[in-house]
Amino acid sequence: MPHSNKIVKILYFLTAVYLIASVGLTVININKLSELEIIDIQTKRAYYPQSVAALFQNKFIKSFSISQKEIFDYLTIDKLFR
Amino acid sequence: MKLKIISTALIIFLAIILRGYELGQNPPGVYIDEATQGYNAYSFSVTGKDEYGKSLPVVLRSIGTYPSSLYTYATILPVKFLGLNEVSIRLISLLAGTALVVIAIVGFGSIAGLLVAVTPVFVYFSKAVFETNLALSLLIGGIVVIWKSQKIPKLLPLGFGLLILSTYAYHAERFIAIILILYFSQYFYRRLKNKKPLLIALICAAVLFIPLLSVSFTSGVNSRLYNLSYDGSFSEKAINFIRLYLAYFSPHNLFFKGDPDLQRSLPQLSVFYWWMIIPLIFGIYQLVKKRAQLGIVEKTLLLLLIITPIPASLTKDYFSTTRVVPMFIPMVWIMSLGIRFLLKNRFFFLGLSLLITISLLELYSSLVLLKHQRSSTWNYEYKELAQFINQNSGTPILIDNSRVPPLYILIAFHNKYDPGKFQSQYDQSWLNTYYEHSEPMETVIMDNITVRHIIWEEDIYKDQLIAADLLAISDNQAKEHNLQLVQEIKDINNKTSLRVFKTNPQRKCSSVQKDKALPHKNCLQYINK
Repeated sequence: MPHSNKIVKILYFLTAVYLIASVGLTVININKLSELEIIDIQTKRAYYPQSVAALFQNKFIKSFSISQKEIFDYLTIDKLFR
Repeated sequence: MKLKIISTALIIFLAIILRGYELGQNPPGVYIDEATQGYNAYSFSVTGKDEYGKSLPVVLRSIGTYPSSLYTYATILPVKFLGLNEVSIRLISLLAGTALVVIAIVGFGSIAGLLVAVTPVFVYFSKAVFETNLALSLLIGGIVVIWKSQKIPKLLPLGFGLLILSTYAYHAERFIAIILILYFSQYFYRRLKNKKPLLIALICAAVLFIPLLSVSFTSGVNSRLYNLSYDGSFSEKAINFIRLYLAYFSPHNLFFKGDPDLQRSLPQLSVFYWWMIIPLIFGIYQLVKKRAQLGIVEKTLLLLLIITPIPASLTKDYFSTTRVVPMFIPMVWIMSLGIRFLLKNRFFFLGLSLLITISLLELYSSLVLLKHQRSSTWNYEYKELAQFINQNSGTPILIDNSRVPPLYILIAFHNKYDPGKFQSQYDQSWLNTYYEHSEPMETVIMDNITVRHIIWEEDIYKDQLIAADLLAISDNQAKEHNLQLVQEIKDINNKTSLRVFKTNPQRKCSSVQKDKALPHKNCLQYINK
């Protein structure tokens, strides 16, 4: 039982690392968005109803998506065979 | 008990809303595979035969790719009652996707049912014609029925029957279902004292499988397998297999990137939501912890997880989700184990509710992008072209198919073209070798419509309309060949996607004469005038 508690603690720790890294990288990336990425946000906004467009396409969501890419790039397990 | 009924009803309601919302409008347009399934269902409902005049084919010739036929047969009734349109052809997928949620609740519990209800891959495959979605529901339904037959052995033939039926719905299931039947057979052989239900189940499965087996080795049916298989030496093939097999377990593909094929994926979403990696990891831990107590249910799901990517890894396509969709069910089940563990902490209940709400917003956002960014992938513009053709039924029209070779089926679908006219082009000797015709159809003629790529030396000297996309006929080409713009066909974002030109052979011939070039044979009539 103590052994399994230790593993659970490690899993909780990894979860916390993942969530903190996601938020941290999002905050870092939000100020690094390129002009192209900002144009992309503006273009996509035109597809939504005007009242909610900014909710679904904004700098935060774009930056979060980039942070997920950066994190999951480390978790590409078929990379070795490319 | 009351709470369980209410939560189950709510999950099913949510599943229907997510799958049924804008069923005919999003994805926008009709994909080639959808059109072939739908048009053949229409052909069966009108003539009792497919578009080539074949009665009850085991697999459809379709556009030479021989897809499975069960989806088409299941679509006959919706097409008969609702007419041939986007809603009627997608209805079976919607029902299969909703049934999968019910099966997940019955087989794996409410949490797994909720996850199946909201997971992007299952929602998306239920919103359009994906034969793999019907096959998945039959396969998982069969597995759950077989589990139940531990208590009621009489259910075993039904379970085996559903597994075999799934092989008629999608090709990959031919491999998966057979392995599962072998696995369950040895399990029940050891477990059952009275072997009669197992014997009946095996006989039923064998009888049901005979028609599919009889055509499985024909050249046409296997042509897709040959086209998709990886070329190279044995070692190259082995490395390719390992690489593709691992790709199906890569968190990068499962939680971030998704299927690279635009038609098989949602914009900005992957197979699962990004946060689902957390319950997956906790679920794996739960499984490892209980590894000594794994029963038939757990072992079956793990077997399904391991064997499903095998056929897909033998091809050259990277991370093709339609071929491996059964492996996502064990993953959802593992996630549900993780969530059950995490829910012991009440704080996580709030977190889970918040994450599912965010996920639904992400899904809505993705569906909006699907409609606007992928309308050309889903051939949205060809519906309007079909309407234009209807309005000009007497004029010869050439449609360029350089980008989408089998696009005749889109016109046939939208205009409900008489299948009898297609059928009359194929004689009995052709039908006798129905399963051996994988050759592509380069030219299709439908009354005044010809579908093929443009032959510049010929087509501009004929008095006709030419419909093509912006790549096939540029502005310079139109000017050079005296083509007069008749109609612009816009995509969903109001951008020109297709153009219809009228040829002007007389003017073209006189311009050729001015250049003192050798006149084309079709010019002679104008020169003589």
